[in-house]
Amino acid sequence: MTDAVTLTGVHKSYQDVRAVAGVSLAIPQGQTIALLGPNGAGKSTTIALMLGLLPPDQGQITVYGQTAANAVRNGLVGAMQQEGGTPNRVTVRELLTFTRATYPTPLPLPELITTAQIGGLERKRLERLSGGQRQRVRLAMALAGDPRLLILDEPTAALDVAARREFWTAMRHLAEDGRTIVFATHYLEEADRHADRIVLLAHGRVVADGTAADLREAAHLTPGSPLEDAFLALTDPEGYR
Amino acid sequence: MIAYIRLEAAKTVRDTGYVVMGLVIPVTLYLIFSTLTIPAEVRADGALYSMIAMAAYGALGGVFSNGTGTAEDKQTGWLRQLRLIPIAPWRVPAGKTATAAIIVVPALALVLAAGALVHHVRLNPGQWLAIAVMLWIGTIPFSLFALGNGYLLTPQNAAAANLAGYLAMSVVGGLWVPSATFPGWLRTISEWSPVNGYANLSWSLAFDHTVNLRSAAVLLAWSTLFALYAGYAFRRAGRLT
Repeated sequence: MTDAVTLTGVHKSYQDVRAVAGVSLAIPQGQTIALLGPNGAGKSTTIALMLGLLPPDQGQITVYGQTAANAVRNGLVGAMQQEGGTPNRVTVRELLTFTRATYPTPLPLPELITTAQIGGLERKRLERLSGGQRQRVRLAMALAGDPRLLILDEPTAALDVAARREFWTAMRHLAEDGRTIVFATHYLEEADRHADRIVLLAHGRVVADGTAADLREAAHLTPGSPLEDAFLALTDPEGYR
Repeated sequence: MIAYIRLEAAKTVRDTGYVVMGLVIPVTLYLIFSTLTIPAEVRADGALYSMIAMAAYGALGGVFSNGTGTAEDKQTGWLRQLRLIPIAPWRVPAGKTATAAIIVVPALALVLAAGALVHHVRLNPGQWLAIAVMLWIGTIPFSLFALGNGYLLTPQNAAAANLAGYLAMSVVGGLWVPSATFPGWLRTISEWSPVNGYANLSWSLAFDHTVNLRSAAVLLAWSTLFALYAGYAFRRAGRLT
């Protein structure tokens, strides 16, 4: 099986903060993978590295065998930032028309609007949308190019319960079509229900990697115990005891 | 690239800063100055002189508001989003520079039309064309300077720096009051200033039917400096966004 993303011994520091301290990870094509971890664990930095926004201090990153920045430039990746990313004073339709035009094989606009559930917002300007509406437009920007790999940083943070459920339904369809989905989240239940695999980060390192059941086992917990317990036991053993 | 320029141009012309600084104020000032303050015996020359001054003032207002808008793009995360879609990094500042070149056209046209229609400014067709082109092309260095501020500074600081730079350069350059009336020391500064180089090219064409090589050299020197500054600012912003 070909890997969509590989990280090999990746390190990244900001001044004196070691954000990512030796992460190795292979993400096969077609997998849905959740990045979990407390604040400051290195999730967002790992995502920025996978997108080529930051160069690693050490180690190697490939996306479909290319550098991350080249994979983005060749339209293989769709990404959603943790926050922001929508300009002011343009309409949703103008923004998506532009974004689609940058990709070699974009998703047709009507399909994009249906998938991202932004029907009725096309003529509205971005700065006049609510937080949840803007979140859906941000998803639409990630999907516009019909990419093989989706990288989403806390994609459901601003969504209400119904919108969150619809979001995951859309993600499931995208995953069924063979796309690779990497998402960072603070919602353990989302990781448990929607990811094939959970990568748990703490202090810039991978502390557990597997299914939810694997994580419980790694934390010496009984099957069916709350994933939250496994999360705390693995990311902060001192505090957990 | 065209899709990107179209989007950025739509975004800028809807910016109140552009409408006020680039369109409303210059033509209003032109009509007020040229109607009220110029003595009757030199009215024709005065109307021509101030037409060029206020056309330059409006064009500069447009490019400076475009530069300030770039700082906003940084704050909204739009610049970062552009790095997540397949658009080559150099196309972003190039597109913004092209956008500035488009949005100055209405600003110039408005004041030149007011000169021709309200004050019956008479020039031969070759002069009209040469002056319009000179006023248009000559905005490029200022556009780069303003974009540099936008890339480098926070939105508040970029807005302040661009407004201060715009007003100071315009006054020193002789757009508000002819530099011939300045005290000697200020006139010397004016003759080496970028806006004077820019506007004087058109004044020379209008009054002396010549291309002022000294002004061209001054503007070219500033252009080099501003281009280096913008290049530095863009590379720095690329590392930080």
